[in-house]
Amino acid sequence: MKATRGSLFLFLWVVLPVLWTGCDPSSDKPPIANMVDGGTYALVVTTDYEAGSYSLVDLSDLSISESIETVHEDSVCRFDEETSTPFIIARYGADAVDVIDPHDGWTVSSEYSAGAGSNPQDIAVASPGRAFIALFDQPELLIVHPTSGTQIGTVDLSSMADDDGNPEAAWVLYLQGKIYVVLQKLVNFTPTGPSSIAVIDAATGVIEEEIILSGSNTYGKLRYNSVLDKIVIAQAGAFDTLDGGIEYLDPHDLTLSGFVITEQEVGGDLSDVVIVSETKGYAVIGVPAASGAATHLVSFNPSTGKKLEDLIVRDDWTIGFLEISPDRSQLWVCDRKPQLPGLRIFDTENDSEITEEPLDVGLPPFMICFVHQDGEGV
Amino acid sequence: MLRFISTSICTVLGLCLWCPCASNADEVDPQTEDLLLDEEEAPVFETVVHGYEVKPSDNVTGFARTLDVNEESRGMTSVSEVVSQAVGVQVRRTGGLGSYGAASIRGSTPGQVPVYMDGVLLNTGGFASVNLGDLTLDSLDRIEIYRGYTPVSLGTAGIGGAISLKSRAFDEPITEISASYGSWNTARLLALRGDRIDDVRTLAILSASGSQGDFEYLNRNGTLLNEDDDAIQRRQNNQHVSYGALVKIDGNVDGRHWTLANDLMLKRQGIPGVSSIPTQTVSLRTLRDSLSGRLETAVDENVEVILDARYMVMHEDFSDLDNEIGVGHQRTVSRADSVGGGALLGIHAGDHQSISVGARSRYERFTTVELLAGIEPDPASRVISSLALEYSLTPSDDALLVPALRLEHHHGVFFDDFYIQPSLGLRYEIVPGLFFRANTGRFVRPPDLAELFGDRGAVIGNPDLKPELSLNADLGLTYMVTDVGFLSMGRFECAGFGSRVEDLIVYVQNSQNTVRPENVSKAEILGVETSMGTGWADVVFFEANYTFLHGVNRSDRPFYYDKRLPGRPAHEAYGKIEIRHPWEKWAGSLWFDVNYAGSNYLDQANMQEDTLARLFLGLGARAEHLPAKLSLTVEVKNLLDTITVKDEEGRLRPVRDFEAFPLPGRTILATINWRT
Repeated sequence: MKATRGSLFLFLWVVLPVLWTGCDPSSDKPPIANMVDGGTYALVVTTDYEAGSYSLVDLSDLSISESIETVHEDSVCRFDEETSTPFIIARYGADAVDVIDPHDGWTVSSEYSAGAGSNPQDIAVASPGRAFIALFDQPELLIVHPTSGTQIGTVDLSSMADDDGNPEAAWVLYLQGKIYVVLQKLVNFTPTGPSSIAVIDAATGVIEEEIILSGSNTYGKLRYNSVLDKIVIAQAGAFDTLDGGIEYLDPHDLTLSGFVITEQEVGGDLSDVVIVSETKGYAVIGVPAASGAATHLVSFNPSTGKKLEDLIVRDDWTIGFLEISPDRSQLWVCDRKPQLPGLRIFDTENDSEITEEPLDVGLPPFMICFVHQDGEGV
Repeated sequence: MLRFISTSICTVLGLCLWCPCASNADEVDPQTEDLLLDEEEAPVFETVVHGYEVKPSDNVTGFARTLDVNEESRGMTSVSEVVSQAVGVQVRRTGGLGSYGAASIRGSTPGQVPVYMDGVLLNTGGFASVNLGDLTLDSLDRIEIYRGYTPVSLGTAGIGGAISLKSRAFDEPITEISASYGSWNTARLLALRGDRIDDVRTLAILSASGSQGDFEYLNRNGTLLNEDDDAIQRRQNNQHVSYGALVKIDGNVDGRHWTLANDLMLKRQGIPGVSSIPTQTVSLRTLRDSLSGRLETAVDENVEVILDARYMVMHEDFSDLDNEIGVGHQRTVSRADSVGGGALLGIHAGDHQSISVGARSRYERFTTVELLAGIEPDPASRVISSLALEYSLTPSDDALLVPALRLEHHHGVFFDDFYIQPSLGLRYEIVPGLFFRANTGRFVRPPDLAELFGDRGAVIGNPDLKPELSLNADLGLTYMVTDVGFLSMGRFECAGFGSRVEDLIVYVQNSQNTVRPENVSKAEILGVETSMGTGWADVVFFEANYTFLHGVNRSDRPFYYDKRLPGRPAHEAYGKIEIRHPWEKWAGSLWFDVNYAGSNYLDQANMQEDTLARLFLGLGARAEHLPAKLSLTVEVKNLLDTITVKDEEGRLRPVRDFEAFPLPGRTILATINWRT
């Protein structure tokens, strides 16, 4: 009897757990095809704010390579046309820059730190050996080799800081020999006054001018619009207050347009803006809601300063960044709706949705960077 | 002596080669095991198991263990460590003594594990999960861990089960002084005095502990793919100092037993931040005080009534004046108050049945103030009332059937919710000492006050939250035996369990700087637990356990669906072997332990790196001079100094439970203890 009991427990204690061993997750993935000449791709940064990755969409057939590599959960992207190099900027907590190689399976070819706790926000490549990185938590601009990360120098921005001694540099753009740096000027993420743009000579790193904007809290990505030949600046102002608007900066004479459309007109805080033409633009706006904040996607006419229509209305904060396709025919939207996240594509001619359902890119999409090798600019 | 040590080492090594898993012999020390049932739990609920040394937790239908920790003050072990060594329990820590530790039972979330200290619920409004790092073993006699089941006597049930901490008790006057010192400038002092004045027993325990916490770790500088900028450096701002004071008096008046206790904890600690961005000044101060009173009286030989009243305050002061954490300049003061009481009526209705009826009510209030921003939301409060009924039927000497029903009512400004939690347990003694157990139940975890009402700004409240709901079931066998040949005692257990949890509350990013809790997730959990504890000729004690857990996310979010639940390794094992031997004036013991945790994801989407499987070894020795009642204990934790492991691509990764929070390497601690 004792022997029988002993055998029973031996079986239960030793054999059963072995039989119940679980299957460890497999990470095997098929290789990603390299970029082909003339091809255009959407590099999509994805995140659930707990983990991050990036995926790839081939615009020729909308085929998707999902979750190519893990990146920091708070990341944004920037594509440099001159070197055909996409970058992923891993913001606070990682404080690093990932360089993506489209010719090596779109993997991370190089990774370097921007400095612990520096909170890098964006990168602008001035030449193959010189790039500028905006640091949100330090009053300086970092000058590095864009692919190796070797530090070349810094640009001191403290003279333009607000009361906390840091101007909170955010987006940065290279254009025609100059670096344009958005200085948000926040304390505890609340604007302390109007934001500004510092104009810096890319070759020397000398600050040439600080341009005070009409509004504050330049939350949306800084983009150059080749159709308008203007830099487009979205200013959210204080959240839950309709005090912001969209402004153009003329890169030739560094003059501001003033608000071409206001938050009061679009009906919410401007979190991202893209301009298709002189008469068509799109914006993501934040609207107070019972859930705390909601997001809407709206279209507007920059020339009249009037809102056109709502394309997506949400009762939560689930619309990410926007992007216009290189041929300007499509609006790409990062739809972060939890139950059905993905990329949604709209026809910029008539605002009709092209995608029948969101393109699944793995984690909810956060930002899109179009990548191409033929020199076509956005 | 040398012969003893060499023989002991050979024996340890030999047994380890024979079986790589060992276990915590402290759990089943027959020398310290109380042969009587716990006075708080026993009278009318007792089920007698003849011939075996039983714990109160052995008498229930569910799977539970009692860990004797009275001896732990002779060494330096934390509550987190002890609890994590139990089968079916995972504890995730942020690194170092006194650091944050959250317990999960059978794959539950920490918020689904109520933790009681002498019956006082430590999970309170605004603090949904209990930080085990705030608790000290110095004041504890034992820890009861209920897996998938919570006794009616404890009140609020947990989806994962419950952890019940019992403070020190004594029969004869006792004095104890203990001092420890070790790695990372870790130090601890303990003074205890228990005395009897007439019919009143008084117990006072004062303790202080602290650690610099500056262990070495691998700083990857935020670049996970670039090893060139990795460096081994010391953890900064990870120090803590804490003080504890427990005063307990109890006595008998007219056949009624009364108890009054006050437990105070003060702690000041640095918050080191993520591994790549060490902080300098971020700090957290915590105060927790609980006052409780209890009166037990027997109305007649078949009816017992237990009345209790409790008050607890939890106060936290978080300071990040320089925005080192990166979410803004902060000075946040949070406070939770909980006051309540209850009655437990036990009726022994004949030889084959007993009934327990518990009625409880408590009021919780949570306030939080952001001092720098001047944000002071209205206080959040609620009243929780519950009625629990447990019927124990023993149709024969070898069977026990326990249906139970809990009714819980939550009343607040914006809600009025009613929860029903039925359960059914069965225990059957197949042959003497061999028990079959099976349990099923439906349990809820109501939303916490911070989830319902938000905090000073970062968390937006959601008053529409539903409770987390779980259907639990388990079955298995327990076998207990004593004095069979060289086997002086043995306890073996094997159980399978499963649960389906719905409406899991998850924080969802709601705007640029805020999150909002929502009912979004579902989970299915299956697992197997096996454990064994044996004592051989009262000299060699060997214990081992293994837990297999398969937790899968069934969320309606496609990027989470079918993914493994994060932070729950599929395989966990713990083992300990100890050799004890007393001589005329001296006693010695030597032990060796092994702690294995398999790889697991750290995020819900299973995107981040795996936490790679790790193996921690520990070694300890104690020499005790019996006439002087003086002992010296030396412990080595993480013997092999494992602070990194290599992944499949050969890259070094820090050993960690939470992303970016490394765990310490080899830690050596010595304790001198004098106990009358």
